[in-house]
Amino acid sequence: MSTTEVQHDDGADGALPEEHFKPTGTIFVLVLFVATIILLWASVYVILLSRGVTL
Amino acid sequence: MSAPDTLEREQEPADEHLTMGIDPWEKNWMLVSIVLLVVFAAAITVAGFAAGFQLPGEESEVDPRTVATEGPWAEPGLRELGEGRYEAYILAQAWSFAPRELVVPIGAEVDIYVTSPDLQHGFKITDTNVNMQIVPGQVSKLSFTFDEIGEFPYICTEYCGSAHAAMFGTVKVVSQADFDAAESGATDTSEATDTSEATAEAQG
Amino acid sequence: MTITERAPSTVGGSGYDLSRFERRLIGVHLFVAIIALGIGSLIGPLQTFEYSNVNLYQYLEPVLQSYYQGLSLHGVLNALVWTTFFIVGFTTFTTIRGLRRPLRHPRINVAGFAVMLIGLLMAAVPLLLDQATVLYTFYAPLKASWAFYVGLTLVVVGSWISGLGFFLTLHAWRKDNPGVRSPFIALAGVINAAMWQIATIGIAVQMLTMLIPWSLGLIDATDPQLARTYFWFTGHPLVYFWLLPAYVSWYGMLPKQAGGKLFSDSLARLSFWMFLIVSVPVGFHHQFVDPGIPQVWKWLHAVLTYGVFFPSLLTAFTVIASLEYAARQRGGTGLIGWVRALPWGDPSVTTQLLAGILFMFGGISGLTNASYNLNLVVHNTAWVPGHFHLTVATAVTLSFIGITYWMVPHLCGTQLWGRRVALVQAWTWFVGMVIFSNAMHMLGLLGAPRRTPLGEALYVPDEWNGHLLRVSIGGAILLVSVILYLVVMYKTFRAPKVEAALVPEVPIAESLRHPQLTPVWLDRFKPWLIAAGLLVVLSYGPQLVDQIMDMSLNSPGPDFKVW
Repeated sequence: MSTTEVQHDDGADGALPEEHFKPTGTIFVLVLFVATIILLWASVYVILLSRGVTL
Repeated sequence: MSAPDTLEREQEPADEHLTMGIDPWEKNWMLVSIVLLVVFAAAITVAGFAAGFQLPGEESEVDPRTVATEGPWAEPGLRELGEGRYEAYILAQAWSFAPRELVVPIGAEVDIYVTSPDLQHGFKITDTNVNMQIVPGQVSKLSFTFDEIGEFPYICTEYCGSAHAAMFGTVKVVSQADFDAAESGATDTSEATDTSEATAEAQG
Repeated sequence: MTITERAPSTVGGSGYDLSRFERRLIGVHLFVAIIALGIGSLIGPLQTFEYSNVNLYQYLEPVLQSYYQGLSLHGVLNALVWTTFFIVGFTTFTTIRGLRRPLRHPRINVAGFAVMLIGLLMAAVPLLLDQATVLYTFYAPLKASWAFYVGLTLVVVGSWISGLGFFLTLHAWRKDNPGVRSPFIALAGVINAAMWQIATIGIAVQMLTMLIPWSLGLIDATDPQLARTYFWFTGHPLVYFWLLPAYVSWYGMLPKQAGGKLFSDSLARLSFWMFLIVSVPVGFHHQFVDPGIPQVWKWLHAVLTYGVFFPSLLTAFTVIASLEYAARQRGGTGLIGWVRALPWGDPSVTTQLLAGILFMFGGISGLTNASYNLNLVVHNTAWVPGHFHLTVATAVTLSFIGITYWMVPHLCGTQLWGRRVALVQAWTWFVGMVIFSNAMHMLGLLGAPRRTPLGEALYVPDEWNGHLLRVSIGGAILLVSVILYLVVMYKTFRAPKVEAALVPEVPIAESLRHPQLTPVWLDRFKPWLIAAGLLVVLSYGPQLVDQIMDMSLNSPGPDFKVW
């Protein structure tokens, strides 16, 4: 798949020099990251629950 | 392709019109992050304050210079409070716990009080949520119900000098019958301590 | 693509480069830092081998008396000396080069270095003589020689003096450039220095009111609980003091090295300001299992720690997006395939990319540590060093190593020696740390204590053995990595001088959007400093007052040397 969302503004036409670029790959990586956070964090949470109350 | 070095002053928007220029996807990510953290915060708060998976809090203070000779830690060990309820006084000192062995009947709900006359120590009972920093002058307390027969080492988890790695004890969770038999068998706590001391030395 | 070098905002336009004197000043900081890292990291693997019952310490007497002396040296040299000297040197660099102007008062920065160096030497003597085997947390009433406490205090004081030098330099630049956004790398470095000044009040009070008078015999005993509270007031922001310079590089330099731009200037600034205000009021999350602190305060600090996790999540987006932009500029395609288009052949980039990857996992275990009762599962276990070897020992240290791969040759006027060797160094660090750290996390979940020679412990079940062995294997791989790093640095330092055009350039990334478009409130110190102060007072004030009013100096510690 090709992602060519990078558009350039040459900044020569007097417009503000902003470039638009949709970070699809970043979103993908971060979705995986959030899934990993939830998985690992929840696994320790389950261990906590399995080891008994302390009150 | 590179942004110009300088921006002419007249092109620059007035200060009040400046925006952060946040990418819409980054904005979404910020929302996801906040939701994630709020959900986690709710989960730990409910577990801690409603379901009883609670941290040690402020208990009481003692004088570390006298705590080993006066008061409840002068005779450390398990005491019965009532039906199925116990309290355990444990002294953590360089480099052993007193007592070295705590025999409790299954289902016992034990208030565990630990302090130190010398240095900081740690007190963590393996496979349970009992985990405390032991600080001279302070009493660390957690309560725990032992629901499983077996041996659970309590390990010193804070560096306290050269024999720190040898500092541990064991909770023995036994059946009510075994517990009653041991109680009536006139086995006093000092004898139990001696046995485990010998075992530890033999292993060392 | 044109590779031109310029500050993010070069209004004023001067092309000032480091003077010979400034190069030397930065150079000596790095020299001390790298020596400290070298010694400290060579000791680290000894601890890991001990886990597999291979105790090399017995062959090292009388240089090292024990596992614990080695561990104390490892912690102090790596976590305190390497980091602090590198950070002050690097911030000197980013201040001058970011602003394109000389230090405003170079003598202040020289004085800062001198005080830090004197402090280091003072602390080193008792450490090496086995008179300060108290680990790098020096929990009272473990009693080290007074020289250890005074020395560490001087290191901190020296870093304050240098911080003042950075601030005055930025201030002078701002006077000359009214209305212009401060260049990001310079501003970010000064924000870190400001955060450090607030954060170190805790350790300064601990040293001056308790540990130093006690070690000198002026008072008989300590209040260990209060000492812990003072220590952790500084102890957690300390980790952000280490981390933020790596973030300076990830945001402000790495995108350039990768061939791209900073994705968002305004969010980069916002995350630094957030670190200024939420780095300090979180220290109780190190004291979750302490007695003497009410649960509600621990809970509050847990929530605030979640708050300080937020700017790191923001950083993840901005930095990854900057890298993705770079990769796509280089022809990278696909949802994830673009990663391959990054310049993996450049050791300075590879180190920092690998550091970033492991930091994502370090962040997860850190979030777990901070999660109030989840801390019961892992507190004081091997999980904790497992965690901070992903953060300070990889995210921070491997990034700093990556920075030296361009900065040392830049300062020496040479080229990096052994690009391939440096790449092997990066990957061995990564692989060694993955193995080591994963095994440590597992050991922690099983209940293995931290800072303990498990090879000689009497309570180790067979179940732990596989993990203990993996800790040692990780340590062995890391040992190779450390040696390679020292060789690369030595050879680079000794390499022949080359003409200026061949010396590595200073990578300073532009942002996609001109910094001048960033709102003014993201460039002002005052509101953020007020917010930081308020939050510290609210989160710590009542407990500090309570503990100080309640102080009882009744803990003298054992009357014999315990190690």
